[in-house]
Amino acid sequence: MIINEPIPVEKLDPDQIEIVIVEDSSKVAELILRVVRRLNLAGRYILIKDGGEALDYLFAQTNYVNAAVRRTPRVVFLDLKLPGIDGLEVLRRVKLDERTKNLPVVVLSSSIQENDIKTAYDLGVNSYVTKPNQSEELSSVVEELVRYWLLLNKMPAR
Amino acid sequence: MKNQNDTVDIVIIEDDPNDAELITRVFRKHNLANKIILLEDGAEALDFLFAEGKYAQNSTVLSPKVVLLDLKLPKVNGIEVLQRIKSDERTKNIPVVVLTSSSEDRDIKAAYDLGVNSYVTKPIKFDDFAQVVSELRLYWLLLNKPSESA
Amino acid sequence: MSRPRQPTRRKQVKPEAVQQTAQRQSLPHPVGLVLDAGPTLMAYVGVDGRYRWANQVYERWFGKFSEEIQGRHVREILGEEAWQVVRPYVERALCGETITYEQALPKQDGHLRWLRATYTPDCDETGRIAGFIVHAMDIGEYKQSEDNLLREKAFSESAINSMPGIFYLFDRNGTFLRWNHNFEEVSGYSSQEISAMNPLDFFNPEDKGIIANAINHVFTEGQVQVEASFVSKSGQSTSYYFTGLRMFVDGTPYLIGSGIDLTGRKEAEETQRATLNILEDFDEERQNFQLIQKATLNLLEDMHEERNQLDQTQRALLNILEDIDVERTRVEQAKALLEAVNKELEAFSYSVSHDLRAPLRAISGFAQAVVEDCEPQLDEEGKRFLGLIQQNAHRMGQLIDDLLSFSRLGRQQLLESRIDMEAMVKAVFKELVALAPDRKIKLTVHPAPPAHGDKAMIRQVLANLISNAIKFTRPREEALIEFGYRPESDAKVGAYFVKDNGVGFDMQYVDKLFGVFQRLHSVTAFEGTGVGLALVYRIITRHGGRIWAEGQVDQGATFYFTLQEREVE
Repeated sequence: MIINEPIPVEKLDPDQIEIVIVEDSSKVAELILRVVRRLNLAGRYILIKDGGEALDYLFAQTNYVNAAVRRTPRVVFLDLKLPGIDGLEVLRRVKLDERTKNLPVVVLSSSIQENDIKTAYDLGVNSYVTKPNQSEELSSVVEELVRYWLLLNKMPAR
Repeated sequence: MKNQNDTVDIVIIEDDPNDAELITRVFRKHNLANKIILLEDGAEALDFLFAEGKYAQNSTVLSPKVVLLDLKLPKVNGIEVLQRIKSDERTKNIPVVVLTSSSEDRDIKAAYDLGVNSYVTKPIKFDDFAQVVSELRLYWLLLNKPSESA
Repeated sequence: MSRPRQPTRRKQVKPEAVQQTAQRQSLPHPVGLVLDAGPTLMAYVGVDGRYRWANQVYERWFGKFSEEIQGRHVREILGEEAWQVVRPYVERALCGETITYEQALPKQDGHLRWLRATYTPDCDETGRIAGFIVHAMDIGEYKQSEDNLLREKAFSESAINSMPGIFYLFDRNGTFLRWNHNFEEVSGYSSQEISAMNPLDFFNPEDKGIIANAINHVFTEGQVQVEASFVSKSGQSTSYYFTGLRMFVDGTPYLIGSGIDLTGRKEAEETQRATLNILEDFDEERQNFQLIQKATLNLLEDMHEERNQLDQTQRALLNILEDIDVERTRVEQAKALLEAVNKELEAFSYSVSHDLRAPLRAISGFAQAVVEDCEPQLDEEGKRFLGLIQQNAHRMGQLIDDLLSFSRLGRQQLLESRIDMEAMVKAVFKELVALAPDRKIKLTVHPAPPAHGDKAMIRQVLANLISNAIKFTRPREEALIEFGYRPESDAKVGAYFVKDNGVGFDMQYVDKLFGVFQRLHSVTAFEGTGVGLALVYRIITRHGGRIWAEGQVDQGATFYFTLQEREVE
């Protein structure tokens, strides 16, 4: 895996939000954003800190009602501990709704509880990844995640 | 290649013997200890996963870390296998990655509709192919946390 | 052959434009090919009306390279005239409307060509317009057919209007689709009014039943004739003899017919009857009247003649209308067939290349496996052999790619524009020479007139020829390559040439040069799939030109080609 190489711009749809990051910890968010920016994805991601707001964005409702929901992101990174509606509930609603059930959702959580893991899979999560404690490790995990879901994983044409 | 009552790490469902061997090599190269099972057609895959037919004596508790599934399979095709895996309580939580040469929208959409975890196309050139399999291994064996109770 | 990077030329080119160009050059195969293959023009225009990206087909149409298009306003690229035509559509697109239109636009060469274009607005997540996407196609040939159809229609218009009677065409719902001038005159209604009326509106209540039945009869049995009083807007009643014929257009039934004024006849009949009454008591007069009756019968027969003539005119009209329909269907069928054939060929080529590549992957893979796993057992020779296996697998992959391009070439549409040959040669050379930085290669460009042709294809020709020149001059200390134009003394068209001081070839084998897979040098000496010159030959031939070569062993080679044997500018 070649780290530190920016994602070739032509591999992405122009002006398209590719990554939705739902994470309430500013420290973790900052770290994720740093990685995302380094990979040349400025403008391709959206950071949301609250479960309810995440649902609003994905369903283009309330504050996001004008956002054209033709923007199907390539992946949603979802923390479990969120203010407002919690991560598992967000996951449940996203995977139940026709409009969003095919969105790749990756839980990125510090929880290693088998309960959480099983529930996430029961709800249809695509992948469950635990957040390492060290920031360098978290950095490389995020990078690997972004590369996998943006470059390797294929989605149907929008 | 029957694993009775053993856990299996990786299930590869692939009918092309060349691809099967090349994929298996990549996994073995990195970790000889990984238990890999290779199935060549859809019917055998289902027998194995549900401990039926020729695998009837297996224990049904398998929980592989990942299933790599080709779509073009003889007897029962990949989409059907996917559908069976994802609709059965016993197996629906197993991460399934479709690894196929088809990049047809129709196939991709069908796979997602059935709940596939990830869809990856096989690159044409060997170097790229090896790289992709290596990344798959890295992601699904090391990064992803599967559910212990499948 | 993969496209080398295109370097920026002028400082005025915006950074994003450079990035865009560089992006397209390194698009993963086959995305770049698909975007540029045509026949669709594609572009992205920002909200400021300036281009951010255009595909090659777009470039070719307007005769400009992408650096000249990007960053420029649409008005600059299209020219004032065309800009005035498309401006309303651009404005609508920038207001969020997806719009499709057909217009004749002046092409680079000044000729008007019909384009069907679709503008799709691009909104960001706040609903703000960021720009719009352009997809356009040259519909010249279809327009041509449409023009023919229209002209034929005009002919039938005059035929219809010159008829003595009234003419009408309506559908099952009673909606009038065509009628003649007479209809308006006699009925007293305007064109607007008729288009909203029903056939039954022109009759008295007591006649409506008969007419309705008659109309039904036409649609079920095929034809009918009926007499009835035709009522005008002012209420005036006139005796008419109507005919109706069922005809099908695109599978839908219509009623087409005409009517003649029977007033003359009716009056004659009535007068006749009245007269008979009066003459009941007068024998002689009655005999005279019988003569009159006979005369009247003759008159009626003449009317019958007229009626026949009307029937004939009607039938002739029907034929004309049917022909128009057939023509339209034929054009559409031809279109559909062409599309279907092309699609099939494309799918076939794709699957063949796919199936050919699969074993290659296995070959490379297992060769690599041997290298990795059997290292201790392998000696130098073994490793070398494995390297050769992998090289050959790679080469075969290239061959497949080349053959695929070659076959695709035959199906591509030629998009003509004016080509600055001198500039193109210099650009091509610059890219190619960058791939051989350690060599001394000198290019001399002699004055050469501009050419008319498909820009991308001609570029490919030059790239192949220059690339060959560079390749075959490898043994030389300094490679000398020349490009120029040699006017022919007797012929109307001169020839462009690419000359080199390389290893040349034996003229004995000159006929083999342009065949597919033909090579005159061993692969070990000079690599190559042998498809390059065949591709060049095909392109030149498609342009209506000729290509030939002259050479001598160790004395270099010169390749000449003409494009379109026609008047030189």
